Amino acid sequence: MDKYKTGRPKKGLDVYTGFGDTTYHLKIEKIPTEVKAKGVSSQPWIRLFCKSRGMCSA
Amino acid sequence: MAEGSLKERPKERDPFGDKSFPCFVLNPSCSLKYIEYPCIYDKERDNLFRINEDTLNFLMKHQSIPKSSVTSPEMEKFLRFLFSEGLLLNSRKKVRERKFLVEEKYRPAIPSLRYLLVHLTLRCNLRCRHCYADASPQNSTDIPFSMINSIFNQMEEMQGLIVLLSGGEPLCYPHFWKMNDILPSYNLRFEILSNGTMINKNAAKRLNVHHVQVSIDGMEKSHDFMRGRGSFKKAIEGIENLIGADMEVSVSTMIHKKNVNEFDDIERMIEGYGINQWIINQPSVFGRWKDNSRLSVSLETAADIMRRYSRARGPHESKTNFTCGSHICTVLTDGKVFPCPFLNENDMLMGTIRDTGLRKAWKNRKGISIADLEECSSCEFLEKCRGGCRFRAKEYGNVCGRDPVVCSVYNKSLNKLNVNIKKK
Repeated sequence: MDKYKTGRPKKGLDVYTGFGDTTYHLKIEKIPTEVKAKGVSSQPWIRLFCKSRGMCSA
Repeated sequence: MAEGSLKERPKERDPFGDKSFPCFVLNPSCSLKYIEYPCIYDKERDNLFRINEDTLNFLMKHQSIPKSSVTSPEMEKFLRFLFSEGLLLNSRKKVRERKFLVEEKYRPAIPSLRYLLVHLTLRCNLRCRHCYADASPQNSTDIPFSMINSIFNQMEEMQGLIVLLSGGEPLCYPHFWKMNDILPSYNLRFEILSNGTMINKNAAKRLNVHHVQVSIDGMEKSHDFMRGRGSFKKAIEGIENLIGADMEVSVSTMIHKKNVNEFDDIERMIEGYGINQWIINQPSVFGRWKDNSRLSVSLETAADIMRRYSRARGPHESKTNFTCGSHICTVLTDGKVFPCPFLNENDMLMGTIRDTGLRKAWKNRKGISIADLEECSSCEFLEKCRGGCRFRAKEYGNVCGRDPVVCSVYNKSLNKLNVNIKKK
């Protein structure tokens, strides 16, 4: 499924760490955007409609 | 080519190696928001990062991080990641803390409102045959400037990500440049949907937006047929000026009978400019296209072109059970809020900027659930297309029915689908 949605792997990090007097569980994940590549139909992006630059398909 | 493409971040040296920068600070183009989850949004590159509550609290508390205070390898790893993604910058000194509106009271109704299409004006220097807004040089309907401030403030408070400025031609809006001056003060990404013809070198440099979509509806003859004599050359000049000003540019093309054989030529042209986002669609029978729909091509032809040529980045991934419009709505020039510019009949009215406000209007949204699409329930592509466009489905008879254009894109036989191609 990911190949349709991103064309690239998800990026992120999940670490436990202390900083100052506090201990944190720091977690971050890059949210991919839907991508329509040239010549490919079976991607979510194709449900777009032009006027909102595709955002209406969100 | 890099011109006109999504901006790439240059590779940086070891962030901990340069002693002349003793601090990390949050990149001014990044802001902390709370949509369905806490997040960091980089408006410059349209990058969204999901974070957890601990990370939100950490970044709220530590917007300037002295490198000397980083002693744990895990913290160093984390900061290196933020730096590599451009969320942190090197700094010679601490910066003033920025305020982010992430408290509970600001959080939006779910699904979140992420994108907002704003019709600034129905003025336009062109009079295109397919304009759904019926914009023209004779139309002088504008959104009041006082409402613009209110819309942006409300969108920012609601944790919105992108405002799409449309019309009419946005540059014909009488307060456009006054509005342009205030855009950098918002934690929002701004994009313009333009015909490109008014973007001279000076305008391209002055624009405080992050992206401009320019309409190119064919090569010179067919574009001018749809949009008026001389408009092609001016639009191309606009694109060149934008690229010269290092603006991210995309192209939008409507398919019609005059340009149907020109897509290879258009592709060569836009690739020559290094533009890697090309949004292609079939005009909806709305506005002036109602009088010109004889210029429409068949659904199959449109679908084939869309499949072969279009390429772009769309919205950020989201898992909702709704059809199109889960995260977007539209403000028209009178301040009325609708799901989209096409679904603008009274029964679809969500509210107004002045009376209900954007937050309440968004709460009033009547989303259509994917489960409501009974005709699509057995379709293998439903998870990907999520029913396509609800306005087009409505045009073909049922707002909860099929969108035949998107069905065609997925190579579904319209005869088998028993879609009523003759519109009401």
